[in-house]
Amino acid sequence: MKVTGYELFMVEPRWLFLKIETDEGITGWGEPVLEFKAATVAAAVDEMMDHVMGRDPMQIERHWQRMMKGGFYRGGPILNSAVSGIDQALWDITGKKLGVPVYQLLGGAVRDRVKIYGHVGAQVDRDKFGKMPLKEELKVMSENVQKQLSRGLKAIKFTPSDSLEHIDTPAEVKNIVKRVEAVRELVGDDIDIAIDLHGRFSLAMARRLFPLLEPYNLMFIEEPVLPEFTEHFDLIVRSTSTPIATGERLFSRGDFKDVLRSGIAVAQPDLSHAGGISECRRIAAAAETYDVSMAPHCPLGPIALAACLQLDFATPNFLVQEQILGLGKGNDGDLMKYIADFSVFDAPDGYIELMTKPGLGIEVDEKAVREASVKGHRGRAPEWHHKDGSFAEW
Amino acid sequence: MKITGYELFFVAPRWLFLKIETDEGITGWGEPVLEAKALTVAACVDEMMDHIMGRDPMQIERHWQRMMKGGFYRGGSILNSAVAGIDQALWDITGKKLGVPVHQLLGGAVRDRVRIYGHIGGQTPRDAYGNIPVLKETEEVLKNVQIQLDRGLTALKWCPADSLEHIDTATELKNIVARVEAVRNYVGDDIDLCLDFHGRFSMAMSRRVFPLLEPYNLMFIEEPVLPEYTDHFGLVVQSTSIPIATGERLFSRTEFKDVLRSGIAVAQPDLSHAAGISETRRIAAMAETYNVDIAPHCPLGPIALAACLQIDFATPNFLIQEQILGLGKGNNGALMKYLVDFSVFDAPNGYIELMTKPGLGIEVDEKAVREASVNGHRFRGPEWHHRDGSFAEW
Repeated sequence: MKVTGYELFMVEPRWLFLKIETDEGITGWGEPVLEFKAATVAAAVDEMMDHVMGRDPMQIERHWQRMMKGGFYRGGPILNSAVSGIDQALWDITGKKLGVPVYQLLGGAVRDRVKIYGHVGAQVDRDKFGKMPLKEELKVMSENVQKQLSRGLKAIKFTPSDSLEHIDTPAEVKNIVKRVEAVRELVGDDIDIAIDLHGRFSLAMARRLFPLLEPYNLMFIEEPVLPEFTEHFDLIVRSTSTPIATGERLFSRGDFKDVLRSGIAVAQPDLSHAGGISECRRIAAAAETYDVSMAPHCPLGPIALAACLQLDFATPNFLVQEQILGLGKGNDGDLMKYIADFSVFDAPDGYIELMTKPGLGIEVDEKAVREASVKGHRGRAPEWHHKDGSFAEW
Repeated sequence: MKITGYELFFVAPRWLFLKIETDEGITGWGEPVLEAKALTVAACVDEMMDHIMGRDPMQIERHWQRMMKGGFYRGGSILNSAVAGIDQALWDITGKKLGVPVHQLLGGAVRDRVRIYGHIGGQTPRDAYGNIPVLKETEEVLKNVQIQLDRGLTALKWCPADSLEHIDTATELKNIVARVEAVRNYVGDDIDLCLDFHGRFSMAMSRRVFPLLEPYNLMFIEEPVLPEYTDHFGLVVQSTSIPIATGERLFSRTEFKDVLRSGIAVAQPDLSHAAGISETRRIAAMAETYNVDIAPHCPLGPIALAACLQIDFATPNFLIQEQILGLGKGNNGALMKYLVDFSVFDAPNGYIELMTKPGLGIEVDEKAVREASVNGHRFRGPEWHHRDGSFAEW
């Protein structure tokens, strides 16, 4: 079999799909994307495909080695996202050729269903956040919480803070605690709550705040500080009994070395950024030796989610899967219009049952993708500032 | 002043030039490029320019913060190369506006001239390497040595090894030593010699070979192992008295932390990859605290070289500057046809005298650049394999 061609589709909200074609009529799909830099990753895919065109798609690892290392310069979010999407498509093709789901090629499934979580953050206006009465904020958030619970989800995640000063006021610290407390009171002890700090905290703020959150028995605290400080994570880990999670901005096994050694509890590589299925399975294996479980990052589309799930089914040290497609009871499939039959993602009890179709296990609706790609997108992250006007992390 | 526009030019051999225009008629130039990925970096520059179009170009650090961090995902070779080129252009504009060279804006020059080195590597065909008698190979290298000596250079660099097995034969070890010995015997003790292993060695091979090279009093050994192993550099450093150098594949201050702590002697950030003048000056300042000198990596064009030189003039802990433009006596300027006047790079004694023109200190010949960019390029690195057919580092 030979790779004969490929196409890229930039589709809303901020995704990039890749289709790889072969001379045997089998096609593979992947999501080689970095949020807010889709056009750059598309250019990188164009360059990377030089390594793969005309070759046998089933030589997945050979292509991975060549793509990752053959350009002399290596690593980082752009190059690794391009390789990730291509890698997903090659696994998809290989699974389809052999008639089995990708997890079977990874040693088979070790579970029958995959637990998912949903987001419950309030979409409060930037200049109102922290200024409107907490009660009002919490009203919006509780609506979102109810929605996810009525979908049947057993785990939820939200960001309990807005932008933060390097060392912020007691008021801000107390607000964060109140938001977490309010959600815990709302859902009770049977629902898992995770919080995502999006790297906005400094090490100092993390160490001050986290002990105050311990009574709420959080599932994990995600990205407390920026990835630049991975080698200092042990300071945070030691400051609290709450499990610490990170990884969406770490792009290879090498990038995970420091945080694994520092004692995090949960690793969150993104299947579309961290070298694809090939590299993420290796990250999972390394993580297992540190008693770290996997909760892959996935605010992306159904193809990326399918890639995550294939790995999740096959990974012993798996915890929970992120998704933003509104999965669960009563899902209207609005964000899944790109696949022909999204019942594969049904999750009436907060778990997705074992996927059985070959490859990534989904059937992409190429017509819908093609139509959507005409519009394209140029999504950008919001630009935040501190009170003094200087740049603030979003 | 406001930025009103920009243009990108792909020019042979494998470069990418950026021109930024302002409403005051001042233009700035930069080289935002990653060898073998110019198209990807160009797409990235397009995305990054969203952050600065219409804004004041003299707010260099503000733009740097926004470009480096405002996309949420950060770091790596592509993003940092795009920012590097834009950063160079902003310093160029600022220097021109204020009528001074960039080195003046960095605190002023601490030296009167900058030492340069030249390359002497041979073009032995890939499959002949190691298969023809060492002395025959060396003939070609020695010819290149003489060319550089005739140009007046006092420091030379090359790679005395082809691709290497993870642990290679005794013959290969001896060949490496023989190649180095031959050049040392030829040039005597007044000329400095550096080796560049291009990351082809494993840690094991480094520790075995380097002690054997000590008698030749090398100036430094560059990139003994891949950047993925920066946190193990201590093993390499402690295996030998030869100064160890690295850095062309490290793209920010953070990435230099491990190697600085491990005892390298020379840091080699690339002004076009490590986020520009803004970040490289900070890398140099950190390096100084470890008694490490900088020797910026520069196999690029005259704009990148000018950016390097501006930093070199202003950096106390500066060692030597790489260039591949054939500088020195009798230079025919073939690779400098993109400048109006390349006498600014005259180096009759192996040193470039203090540059005095404003900004980056060069005048780009826009017509020549524009003509050359019509042809463009799609440069790719070579694809090497081991004897067993597996991927080999180039």
